[in-house]
Amino acid sequence: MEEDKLRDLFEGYDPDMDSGRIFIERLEHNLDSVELIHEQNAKAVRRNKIAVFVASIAGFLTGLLFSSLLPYLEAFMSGLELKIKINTGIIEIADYYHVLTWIIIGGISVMVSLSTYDLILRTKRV
Amino acid sequence: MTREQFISHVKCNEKPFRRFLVALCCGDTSLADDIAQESYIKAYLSIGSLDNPEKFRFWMFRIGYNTFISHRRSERKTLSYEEASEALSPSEADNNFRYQSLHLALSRIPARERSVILLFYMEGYSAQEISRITDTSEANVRQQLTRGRRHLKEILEKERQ
Repeated sequence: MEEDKLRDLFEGYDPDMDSGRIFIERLEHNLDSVELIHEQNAKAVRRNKIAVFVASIAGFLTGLLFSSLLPYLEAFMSGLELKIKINTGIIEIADYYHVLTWIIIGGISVMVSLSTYDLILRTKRV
Repeated sequence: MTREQFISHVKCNEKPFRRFLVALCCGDTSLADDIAQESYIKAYLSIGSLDNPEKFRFWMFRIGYNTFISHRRSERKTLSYEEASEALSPSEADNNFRYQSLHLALSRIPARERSVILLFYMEGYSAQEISRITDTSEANVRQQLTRGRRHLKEILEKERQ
């Protein structure tokens, strides 16, 4: 078979396919779906950013609030230390009451941050 | 490029693109249209990477070829010609009957050789352009073209006898 015959064979190739109009309609429909998913993803990213921002502010404010109450907390923990010293033998733990106070403040701040983040993501609209 | 501009480019180029994919899929028009749809969606999503809109057609052939190859990889095997014929509706099978021997011959040559043959003979791309579409060297394209041509010739001549 000569080169030209092979070329002719493919040049005249015209198989039956769905009409261009049907194909374009299907493509338009698929593009609508793709754009909808894109839009939803963009919304989710935006909502996530807002949630992270608000949660970090909430955590920071909680930490600040508890830090301002530090003298009272330390007094409370110190009293607790005396009780522990009197009532039990766990002196080693009781001596670190100020460290324990900071750990509790940190823990509460983290808990408030996570809860705020979760709460914002659960709400339908931001 | 806006969606309207994209659709307008598609309208201008869809027929040769789909015809190429039908031949690549050895006459399976529904598979070819699925690959064409997937290719156009991929193109739409990465339209920003098309620096020159005049190269839209060339760019689409590249995406279409890659989509076809990844589809083959995921399928592991394509339908044989006999299976493909059974999958066609009676009217499609009747209409495509005239290309039966061509589709059969195409189904018997490796997919990469088939792609090169179709891009060269059907679409008129040069070896250099085909090497850019298929992401292989020009020497490799020429080798596949020679092999594919020989294979196709042998199969078609055997069919005639």
